[in-house]
Amino acid sequence: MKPKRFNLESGLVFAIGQNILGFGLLLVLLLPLIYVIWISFTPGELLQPPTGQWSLRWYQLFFTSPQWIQGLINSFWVAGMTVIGSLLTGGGVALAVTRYHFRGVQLLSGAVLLPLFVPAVVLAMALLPFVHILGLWGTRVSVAAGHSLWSMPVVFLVIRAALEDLDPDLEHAARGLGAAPITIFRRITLPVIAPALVVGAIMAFIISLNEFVMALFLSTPAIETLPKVIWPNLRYTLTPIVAAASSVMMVLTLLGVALIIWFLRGLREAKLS
Amino acid sequence: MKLYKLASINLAALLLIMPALILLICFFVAPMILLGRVSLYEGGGNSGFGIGTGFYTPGTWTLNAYFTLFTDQYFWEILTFTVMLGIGITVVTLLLAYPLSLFIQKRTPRWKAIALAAVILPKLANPLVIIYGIQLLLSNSGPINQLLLALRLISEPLTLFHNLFGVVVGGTYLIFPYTVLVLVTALDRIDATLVPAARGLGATAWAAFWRVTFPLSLPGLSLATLLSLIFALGAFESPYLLGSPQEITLAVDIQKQTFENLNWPRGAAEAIMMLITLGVCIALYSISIRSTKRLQRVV
Repeated sequence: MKPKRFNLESGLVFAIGQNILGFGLLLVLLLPLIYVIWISFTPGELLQPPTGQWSLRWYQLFFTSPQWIQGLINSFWVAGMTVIGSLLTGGGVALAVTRYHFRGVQLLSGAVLLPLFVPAVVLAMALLPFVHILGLWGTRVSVAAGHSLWSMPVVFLVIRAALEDLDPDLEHAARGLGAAPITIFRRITLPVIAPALVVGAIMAFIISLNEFVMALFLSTPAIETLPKVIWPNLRYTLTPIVAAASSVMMVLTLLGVALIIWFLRGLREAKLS
Repeated sequence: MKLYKLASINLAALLLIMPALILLICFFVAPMILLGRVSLYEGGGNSGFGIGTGFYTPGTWTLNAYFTLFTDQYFWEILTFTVMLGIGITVVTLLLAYPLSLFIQKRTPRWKAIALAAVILPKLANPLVIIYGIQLLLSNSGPINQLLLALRLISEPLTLFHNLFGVVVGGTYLIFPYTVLVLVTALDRIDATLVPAARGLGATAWAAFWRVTFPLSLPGLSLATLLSLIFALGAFESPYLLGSPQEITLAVDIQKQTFENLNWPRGAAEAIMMLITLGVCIALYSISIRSTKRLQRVV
């Protein structure tokens, strides 16, 4: 009897230890983000986390500084164009490969995913002389096109998954009742995949907003995005305004994530009912 | 009639894939080809800063950029360092990610979702923000040094970044989410009744893991290793911002050659070399996996 109780206890200790290690590691993963947000509220000039007094002075500085605000505006422009670009490209391919049979479907799906596996610096280095020759260097469109290479595969996967879940009988029935293809798309396909479209769009926005290497290579001072404005500050000076800028980006990202979760939940409930 | 229908379907499909084709051909295939071409140009001015001249001399064909690379001791040093660092970061990532994935996979659905969200969030965040957080945490006046000082474990702050340690920490943070996602997906695919069955037949928890779970997770593990290696070989932000001049990777040098030396042919040649290195590493890796499998079959 005694050894068994010992086993039970050691099993319990093991389980508790496992939980502490597991959740501890997860906390360590989030620690840099949490610490940056905490520091952004410091009232002083030093990079010390505020304990007694919290202050919004660095946020005030961020929102009144033309350079940072311009960075934020540029980021929004680029992210907006990336959303449009990746919905047109990724969404189009998703519709084509799920609705039509043509030669090279596999090849096309692979080609769409390929940019994800090329190192960011190589892709950016390849695009630099290209946009330079085209006279697109220093335009927001060029950065957005670069970002679309990475958000297109994500949008493609999300929308393809939604289209594969869609009951083909619905479309067949509509066609049997004499609906034109465009009507079928507008009245049946579009409403069903709408949440996936929104999720894909938000993902593309988040990817573009936080992307840095492409922005470093392709943007000039006039169009630099927020991460590019942060960059020299990390190399030469460490001021709390970077923490405030980082927190602003984190808030926007978290807002996007919250929206995605909300839409996915809607999607699941719609599927159940 | 049938022919017409076939043609119209193809036309619709073509219209749908057209934007993606334009993006891929214009902003992926063409630039990659141009990258090869740029690496064959003569460099810009000799001043080292290219002021007044271009970033390369148009219309020239030369292998100069590659000759300079291959005869440059510095290039071989950073190439070796890039590969070693990539392998190092991959090993550290796997050693941490595998146990964590096992842990996450065993949670109840609710906790699993929360844990996965915690893993993915740093991936969605800006890599610079994570690097900045690590800089702050590891700095001389940062909380880790303060804690160690308060515990009297050290008498002077440790230098935790601007060295190899910082680079590995940063690199691991940035590729960790991919690895965990792949591993959790792989572990989820394993039949959940196998381990209880093994335990019922008298296997210890350790034996059940080692003889059932681990072998079945090997395909996922090898995919996770490959992905981690691909991303670790491209390490850029972490060596740049958490390393010292001793920790320069190929990716960092591409940026420096392009923007500080304004030598685009050299930057392009290094980018090509990086693709070749990546290809060689992937090939070596898949050969070793295949031969291990053959060996297992023989044994």
